[in-house]
Amino acid sequence: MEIFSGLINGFSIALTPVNVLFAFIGAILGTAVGVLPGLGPAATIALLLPATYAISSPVTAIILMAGIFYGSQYGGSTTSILLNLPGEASSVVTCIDGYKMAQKGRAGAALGIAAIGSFVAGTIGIVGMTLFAPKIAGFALSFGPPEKFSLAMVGLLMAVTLSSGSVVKGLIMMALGLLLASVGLDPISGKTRFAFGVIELQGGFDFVTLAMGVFGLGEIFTGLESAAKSEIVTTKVGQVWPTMKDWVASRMAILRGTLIGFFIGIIPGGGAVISSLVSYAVEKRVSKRPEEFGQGAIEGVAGPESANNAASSSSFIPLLTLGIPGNASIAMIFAALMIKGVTPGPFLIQEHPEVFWGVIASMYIGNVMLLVLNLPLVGLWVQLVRVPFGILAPVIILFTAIGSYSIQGQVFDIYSLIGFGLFGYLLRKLKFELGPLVLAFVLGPMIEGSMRRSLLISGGSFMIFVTHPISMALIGLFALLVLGQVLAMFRKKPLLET
Amino acid sequence: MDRAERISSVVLVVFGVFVAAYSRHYLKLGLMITPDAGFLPYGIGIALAALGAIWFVSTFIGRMAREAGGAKGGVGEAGGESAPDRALLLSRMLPGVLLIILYAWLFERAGYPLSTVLFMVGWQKIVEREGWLKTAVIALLSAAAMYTLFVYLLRVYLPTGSWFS
Amino acid sequence: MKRTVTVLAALLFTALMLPAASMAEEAYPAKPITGIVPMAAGGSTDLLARTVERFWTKYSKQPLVVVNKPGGGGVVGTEGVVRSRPDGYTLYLGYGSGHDVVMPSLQKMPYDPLKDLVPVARLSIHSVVIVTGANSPFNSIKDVVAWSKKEGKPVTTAVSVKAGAVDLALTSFGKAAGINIVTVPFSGGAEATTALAGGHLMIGGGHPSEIIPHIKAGRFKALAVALPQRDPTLPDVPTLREQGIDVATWGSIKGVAAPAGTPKEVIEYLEGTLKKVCSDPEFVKAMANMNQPIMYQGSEEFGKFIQQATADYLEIIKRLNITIN
Repeated sequence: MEIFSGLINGFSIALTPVNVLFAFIGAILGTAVGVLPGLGPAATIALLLPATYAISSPVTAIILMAGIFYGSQYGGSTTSILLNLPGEASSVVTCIDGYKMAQKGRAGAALGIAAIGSFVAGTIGIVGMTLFAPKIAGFALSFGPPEKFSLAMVGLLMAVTLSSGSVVKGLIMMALGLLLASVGLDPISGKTRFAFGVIELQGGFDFVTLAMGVFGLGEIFTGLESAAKSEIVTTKVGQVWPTMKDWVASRMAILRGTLIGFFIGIIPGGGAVISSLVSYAVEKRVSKRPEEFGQGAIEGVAGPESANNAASSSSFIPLLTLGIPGNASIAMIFAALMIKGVTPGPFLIQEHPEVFWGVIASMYIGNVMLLVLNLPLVGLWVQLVRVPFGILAPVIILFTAIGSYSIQGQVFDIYSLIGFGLFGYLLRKLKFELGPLVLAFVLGPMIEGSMRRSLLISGGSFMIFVTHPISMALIGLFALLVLGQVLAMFRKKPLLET
Repeated sequence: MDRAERISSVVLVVFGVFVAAYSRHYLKLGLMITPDAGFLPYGIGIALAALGAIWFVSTFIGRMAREAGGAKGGVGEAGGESAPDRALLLSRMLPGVLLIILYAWLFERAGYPLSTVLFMVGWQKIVEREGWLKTAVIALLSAAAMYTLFVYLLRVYLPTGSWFS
Repeated sequence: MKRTVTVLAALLFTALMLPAASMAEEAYPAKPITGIVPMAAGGSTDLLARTVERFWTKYSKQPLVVVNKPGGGGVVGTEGVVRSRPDGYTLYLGYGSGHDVVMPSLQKMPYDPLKDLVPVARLSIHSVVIVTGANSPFNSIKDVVAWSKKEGKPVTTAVSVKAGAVDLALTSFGKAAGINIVTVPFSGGAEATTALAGGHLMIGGGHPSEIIPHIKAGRFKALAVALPQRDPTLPDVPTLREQGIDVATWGSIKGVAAPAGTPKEVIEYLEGTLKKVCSDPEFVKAMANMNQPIMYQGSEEFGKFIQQATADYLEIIKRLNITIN
């Protein structure tokens, strides 16, 4: 019953005019940040951190930052669907079917379902937080190196299911993605890999630069080369809202995505990406029309988008209950709390209940605000594709170039962007798929790092991956999935076709 | 397209071998039990070489040789699988790429406002062949939009030009 | 038509030049100062930097802006400062960390932390504390040593970064005690302590600000502190020397540095302002809250201290024959 009283207390705090205002500002900023390629929520929160010192109440500061964080998950799908430009790692999966839907004139439906799915998932995720937070927290801790390795391998396998084309080409993309991820300093041995003396490469490539270049610039270069004066989306804008049929199809996808995202999101590091991947793979597998995936299946948008929003809600759980930040944005919020003298952790509920419940209550409110904000915007965004290519393309180039520059303040990142753009153009010409490349890049460090750490811990024995129960379960799942793939391959899909 | 694929697959094989060699020599493989920095890249290099070889072979046999240019779904398929149009390549894509490179080169030296304006002017004139008035308007608006967004709203630091300070 | 265009272009050009030209020479500081933290946000160094940032504006008319540039165990961000203009507008927050005083003695660095950087002031010292899980059978360092010698098995140890201060301290402990310590490096203190909290490793090393919350939550037990004398934030924890292991390190030193060549007046201004920040009672409270001791030293003293610390680390490395494998 104390949950109930805590929540009431929380709402009374969250509904004060100041906190409502800041929730709103956070929501708007978050959406903007999510839509804009190049700038992520972590960077924005970092920029605003000094401003929060002046805000006396820690609750208000956290409400603002939390709003930016989960708000960006709403906005991130917009550019993925309209322009095939993922703003965050968790939006890459949305590009696959979302962009196809946009090309068929169904951008509105995709955006609408993404917004609604995000709302449902976010809200259910918060309810889950409210009811189960302290109990589930321990779950997050139990994921050590062996478990993370197994989970990441499952995620990587899911990435393979994304490709509907040649398996060989999909594998090449994954291998290249892993290779790109290994450029830079290797945290376990302390050696720098593949930097060839170039200082800027010591930190490795940044996901944003890679994704912007390969997806965004690559698309633009292809557009330049294929027609004299074209539009970025050549079909007309169809209906602006999801239809009844879309609803029915997406219902279960949203629910499944929420569950997947909620549980995987609790795990520190990689939660949102892996959950969007798993959700897509699950949807493809349970669908009665799996061949539609990759051509514009709405479940392929509804599921992953719900998953990444549920994950962003549940990633607060380790922070608030254990004091462990799971990703860069949450780490910033952690810093803000510490500076305000509020130590996140198991005592947070007792020492500062107003912070704990106030933030949770505000998240409910924030999600409602985001839905109200985003749905009308769908009509507006859809008009964006009408802008002539001649203006849209260079503007996108400017945005992504400046966005890349702003990550570290180095021009080298703009050059990398261009390089990746040309690479993306080449890949398209040779009929490779970009999804597995980018996703392998994101998962690479987790896979390699966790594997090597596990081996260090076990003294070289590979048995560690099966003696740990969670890891064993995941490895088992991995084996089953591989078996399934191989069988499917022999039954109908050719190995090397285009 | 077959020729392009063949050349690319050979390049890939060579690349894979290079990666494997570099990893083994410079980064060290370590033991199977405690893999060192070069372990994974070595494996990737070998895998790439092997996959590249399979790809190369596949351009001669199997469906790929028979079905030229059948587009399938998935990320990154832009439709239209024909070989690149030489004329467009030279008149639009090449200048476009060069403009971006120029933009990057100018960015810190000339500052972001001037670079942005020059980039836009270059794009509109060379790539899109627009008139001067439209070009000027678009260029100025773009620079203004970048400023408002990045410098004013998001307070990102953008260089004002080392040539001018 | 052409003339109109030329005039327009000229006007445009002038308009764009104006902002750049209007920056007259003012006294330092004339614009915000960037403080680069070469570690991830939320870590102990980042928190220290942001706390300083928060109180800085009380004593200076220009704000200090903290920017995180993690990567390369701290090398990437620090290198960025080394190569920046020595005009006092780019500073390195966290000078004296593992990659400044330990790493150079173990591997090749792209810059020299002693020559390419000028020490401005020391802010704090983050000692290395050896901890273990609350459910672990170990209650003291002796237990760890005894177990390892009896079982003949290695002791798995969580450390923040490879060849950092924590790694060095724990490796030295292993060598001095004659037992087999396997250090498992992560990407930062937060990740390492989380893994340890999950019980995936036997012992671990961390800084007081990272581990005290876990101790309070009943997840960790502190076994020893790797300082010459006890740490004020953990007065009940004995040092390694007290328990018979002759290892004492300075831990991770946290100070401020500027690129070599920064003018003397700038350094003096900075060290003076930092001194005022360190004396501010609210700052003292905030630091105590985060379990970070305030240990201010001015530029000259700090310079000597850094030289001494580097030499001390080199001595341990040589004596115990430590290499990165």
